[in-house]
Amino acid sequence: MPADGEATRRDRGALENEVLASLAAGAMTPRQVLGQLGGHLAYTTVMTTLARLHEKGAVTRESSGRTFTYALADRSSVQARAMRRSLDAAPDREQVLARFLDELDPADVPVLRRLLRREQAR
Amino acid sequence: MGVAVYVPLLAALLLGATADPISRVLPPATATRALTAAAVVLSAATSFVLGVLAFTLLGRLRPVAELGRWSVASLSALDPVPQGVAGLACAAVLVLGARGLRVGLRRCRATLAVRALCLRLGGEPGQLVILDDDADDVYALPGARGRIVASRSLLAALPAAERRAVLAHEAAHLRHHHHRYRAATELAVAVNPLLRSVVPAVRFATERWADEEAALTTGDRAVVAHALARVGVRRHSPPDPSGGWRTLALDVTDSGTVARVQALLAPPARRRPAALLPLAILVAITVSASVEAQRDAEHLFEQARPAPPVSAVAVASSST
Repeated sequence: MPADGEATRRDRGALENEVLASLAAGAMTPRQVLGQLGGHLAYTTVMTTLARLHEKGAVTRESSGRTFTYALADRSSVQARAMRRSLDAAPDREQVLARFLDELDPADVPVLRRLLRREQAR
Repeated sequence: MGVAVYVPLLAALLLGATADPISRVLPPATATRALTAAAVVLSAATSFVLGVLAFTLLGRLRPVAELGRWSVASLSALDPVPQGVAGLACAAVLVLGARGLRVGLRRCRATLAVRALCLRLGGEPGQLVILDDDADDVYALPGARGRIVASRSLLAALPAAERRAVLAHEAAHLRHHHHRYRAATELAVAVNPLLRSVVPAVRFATERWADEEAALTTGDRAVVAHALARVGVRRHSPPDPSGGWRTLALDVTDSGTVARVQALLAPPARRRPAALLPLAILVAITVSASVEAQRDAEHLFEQARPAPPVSAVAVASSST
């Protein structure tokens, strides 16, 4: 039934927001998130929600032992992900990159140069 | 012309005086819908009767009279409306029309600003966006592709249950399109300032509506009350004089926080359909008075027409 689908989609959105909000206090394992949110959820639900948020780029994760520690993605990584996604969607990557450089704010050029140098030095 | 033409103005005065108590007595969703609908109908009706009044003066202008084929002299002799009143109505139509236009344009601009901000924030419609601001803040950016925005510090300061309540409150704003009721009442009030008090009343009712939805989600009205109190104390949102996106943001604590906390701590309100009756009667009287005013005006201009020559009548009747 369409009404049911609507309700589940809404619940999923609400759950994602809740899990995301609980990470505002700092990085956590799924177990810790579950402890924060209280008894109305199952562990696997929290796990899949965190995985989905990670897929969307809203959270970052680091492996710690057998599990992951999740943290809020900072705004720059969310935005960088959006830029990369639109680059990935382009049929001709090189042309898009070239056009992007053409239209770059002159003030950004030295910044980009510095970042590239740092990347090469690594 | 009879008194019917003035009835919508009186009705608007009455609704303006009772909007605030209505928003507190009726269940919030009902109050929001009923007040918005009544305000829209009443402002349409007053605009219409003002137009009718203004036209009794405009009709005396020679080009208009020629176009309508009535006689200026007989219209003046029938003297339906005092010229002063008709003149005032003309001025009101111009001023209020300009106001409506200005409010509508401002609203469009703010909507565009909200849309641009949502794009900049990224994420999906309805998703929570957490800002690293120092200022504690939480609000919903309205629209089909809206977002919930909260500062990290505020979220971290709330216990999990209250955080859930705040998120549910903002999600309810988006889900029930509360910004549409607010837009409709703002426009209605722009063209009929007598209804001024409906805007804060609908604002309050939509906040109560979202509070009750949050109480359903958390299953505990007291938790929502505590969340409201805590956010109310901590929240600091900078005012936005530019009329940008901030004017459309649905804040948690921007309307009657104390009254809302009290309502949440009291037992839930019973449904009282009978309380809707006075409002329905008011709207019905207004609509029928507007129809009556329109008939009166038609009759008046009909009377001011010189009687058609007999032959024309004969031709018209033979052709049917």
